Amino acid sequence: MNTIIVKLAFRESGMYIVPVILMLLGYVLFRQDPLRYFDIVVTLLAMLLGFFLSWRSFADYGNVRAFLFSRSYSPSRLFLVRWLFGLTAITVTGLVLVAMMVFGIRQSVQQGLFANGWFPMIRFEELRVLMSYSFASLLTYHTTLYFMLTNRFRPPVRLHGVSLWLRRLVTVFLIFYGVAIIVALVFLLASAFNKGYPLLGIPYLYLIFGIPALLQIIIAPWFGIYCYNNQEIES
Amino acid sequence: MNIIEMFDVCRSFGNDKEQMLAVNHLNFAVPQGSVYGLLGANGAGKTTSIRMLISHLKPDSGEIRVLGENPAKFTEATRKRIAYISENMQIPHWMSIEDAVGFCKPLYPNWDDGLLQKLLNLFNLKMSKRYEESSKGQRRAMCIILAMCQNSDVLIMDEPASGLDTLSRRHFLSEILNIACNENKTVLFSSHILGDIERTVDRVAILSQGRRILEGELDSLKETVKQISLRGENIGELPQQLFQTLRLVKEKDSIQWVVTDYTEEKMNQLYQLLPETTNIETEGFNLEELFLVVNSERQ
Repeated sequence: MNTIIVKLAFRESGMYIVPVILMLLGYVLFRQDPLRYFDIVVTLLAMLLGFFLSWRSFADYGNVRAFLFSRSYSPSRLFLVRWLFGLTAITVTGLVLVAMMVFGIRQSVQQGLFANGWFPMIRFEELRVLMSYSFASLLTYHTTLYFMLTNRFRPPVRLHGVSLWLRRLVTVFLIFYGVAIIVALVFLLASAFNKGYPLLGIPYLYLIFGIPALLQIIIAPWFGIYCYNNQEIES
Repeated sequence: MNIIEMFDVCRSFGNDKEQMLAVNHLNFAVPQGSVYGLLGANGAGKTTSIRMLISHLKPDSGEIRVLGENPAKFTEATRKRIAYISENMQIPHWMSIEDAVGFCKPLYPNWDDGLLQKLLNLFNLKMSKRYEESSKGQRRAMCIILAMCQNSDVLIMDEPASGLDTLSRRHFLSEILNIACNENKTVLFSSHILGDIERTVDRVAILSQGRRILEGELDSLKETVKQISLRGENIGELPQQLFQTLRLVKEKDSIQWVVTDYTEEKMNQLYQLLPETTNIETEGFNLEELFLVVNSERQ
């Protein structure tokens, strides 16, 4: 049952996420300058990955929803498997990035093709880029997901009976992350033009983005299952 | 044993300022093994009722049971036993029939490949046919095939034959009858096409403005719902307590009285209570006339 849902999620999103993942891996493999904490290309590609995973896996268009939600799996299972598929795709991509750096694949390419003098010194230092990758991908994935779930609050498809406090909570999250994403992009642009590393800001950025990213992972399954079990499905 | 039950169910749409009561204290029960028709004009509450049966909508009040469970709390084991088709249901447009079968078959342990081939032949479809390349009727046929091959205990269908040509509709309806009769499955379906209902169902409920107006075995309804026409100058007070009245139209020297519990005994009592000069005629209804009578009463 889970395999069927995973296959469907991959079929819906694969055409979009595979090119993004390949671009991301290719960029990390062939970039000659050292990868910093905040790499704008990695961040943007990670955001794109998160967005496509959410948008394509959860966007049941039109009356397809009636078909999908009347199968033998429960709405909870449908949501959880889709959500885990997205998380897994993000995690696996991150692990591939780690493997490329840790096992020296990037080093081999850089030294072989470009005689890159930065290696082997920065081989493990570059793992710092996973910070921007993980925060950008996870925050975008879940923020898009929240938006898509709460979009069902509006007519004609409504979450009949969803309590007011829950809607307000989600709205606050959406506003917070909207602002956070803008702040992050401004920060990244500033970093791009600044040759130094914004080392002093790192702990604060873990706080601003890391904890909320973790909170989103905890809240997402609970909120998503609630939405899936309580939404109205058009015929 | 009743497979589907609705007790005093209400459901409204809209906000506080403009609320529309789509289902209004609705009650009906579908016995196991029956083919049950849900009939009503547009806006009668058929689709809303069906959506609540498969948990796509929650009722505002009342109780619903399908296979003994509240639809909002269906277990996956129960979901495997229910097949659903709606009028506007679509499968993902990129899917071919083969893709759709590959998606559905593992979800239903009783999947019937023999029936799949039979229905593909009946509807003149191939496994490679893609949804987005199909006509409206072919798309409908695909949804029907996917539902029926599940071989579920309960088949719930909302306007399933909409878009099918006459021949395909005939095949589909006869297949429904085969399923219900030979395998003791329970079928509930709504349709605007009265001929389909009359040809297929053994029990029917006629809805109007969210309420059940008439309900029972189709043949029994035709026996018990009658129009009594009374003509005469001195009819006097009509003994309305004798019958359950569906409609009563009084004119200058005639009365058209539609009752829902007609029996010969009650009719004899009526003869004795009315003046001898009263001219009394009774006539029955076919399903279409029943439908029209119910809806004319509510206008």
